[in-house]
Amino acid sequence: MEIVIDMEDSAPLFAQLINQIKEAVMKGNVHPGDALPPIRQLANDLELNNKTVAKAYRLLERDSIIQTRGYRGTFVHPDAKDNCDFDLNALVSERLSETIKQLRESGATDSEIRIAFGEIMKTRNL
Amino acid sequence: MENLAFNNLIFCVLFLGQATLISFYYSRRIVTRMERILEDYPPSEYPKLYPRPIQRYEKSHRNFRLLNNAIFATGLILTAVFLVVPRSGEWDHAYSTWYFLLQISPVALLDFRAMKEFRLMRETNRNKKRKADLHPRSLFDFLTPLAFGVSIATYIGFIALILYVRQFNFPWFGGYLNIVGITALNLFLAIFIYRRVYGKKIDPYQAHEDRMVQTTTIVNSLVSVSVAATLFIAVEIILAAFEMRHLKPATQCVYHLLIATLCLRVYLPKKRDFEVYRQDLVPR
Repeated sequence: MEIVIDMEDSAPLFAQLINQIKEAVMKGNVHPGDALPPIRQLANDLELNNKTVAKAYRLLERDSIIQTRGYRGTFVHPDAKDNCDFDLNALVSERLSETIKQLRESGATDSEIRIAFGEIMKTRNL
Repeated sequence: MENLAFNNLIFCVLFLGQATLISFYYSRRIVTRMERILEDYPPSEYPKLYPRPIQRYEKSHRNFRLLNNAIFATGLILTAVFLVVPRSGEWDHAYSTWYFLLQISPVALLDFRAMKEFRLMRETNRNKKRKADLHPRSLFDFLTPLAFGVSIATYIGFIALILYVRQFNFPWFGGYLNIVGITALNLFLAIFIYRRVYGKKIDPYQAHEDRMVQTTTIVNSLVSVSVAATLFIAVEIILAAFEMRHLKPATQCVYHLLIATLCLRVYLPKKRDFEVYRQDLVPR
């Protein structure tokens, strides 16, 4: 199974990598339990920075599409196919929209919401 | 006296074999291959294969052939001298080694130039799409467990031999230094293998299958070199222990022939996909 990264694509490199791996899982080109290449190998083959591949792997692991088993390497998660459908960005947007709507209904202005959001993000160091 | 002449004859035959195999046979095959590539895959159709002007490649091939011819002629002269001039044979192994180093220098130069070519290829590569196989590579994709086992067993056997010979306190014996030398060589080869298996793609256009085949050839060659070098040192120690040092020049020549055969096959791949070097089609 080959993955292709387009350097001229407007999408960030790590996002392209995530999408390609998700696509491979969805199409059944890789199966649960299949081993994935180590970060260094993939980064070298794609001529990318190790950090870019590491970021993609970290986000895929967070979404339970892949799992790291210590020194044995990285594998496709047993529930990867189901988890590929799950869109965390959509969920975040939905929850934030709901919260903003509630705050507006209670009388808060957009600038107050923006300032409060910024401060919370800063203080929690997220 | 008769024995000395016989040993000299054996050495001369092997030395001539070393000169012929490396500087005549293999060099001819490498030059023929380079020229055939230039003929069958011209720069007009395969520009990605030639990041420099074509004249530079022609000159490089010419120089490689001339250099090898000169080295081969030197080998013939040296063989004649060895046959005619009476010697003790004490330094014959050193002559063989120095000549071997001279013989591999054109190939080393060729390799150095190739590295520069690949760097230029990477710099001029305008393809913005990068591909990778979503499959982890491991050493055993390129090497059989048997070959790996043989190399490990050879190394362990060598250590056992050193420990055994050490108890006799031979004045000439280097002791643990032999283990340090062979371990350093194996570490160097292991790093080289690691870089080949997991490292960056040297040729940016190379087809995936070609890369796999090339890596397999290189890994097997390097493992064979490790085994051959270990066995060679072991044989040298055994010969010295049994007072058969007069065979040292002959074994040295055989070792050089073996190393050359193992290493130079890397330069003569059977199949290679040249279509990856074709000119990109410009969309209208």
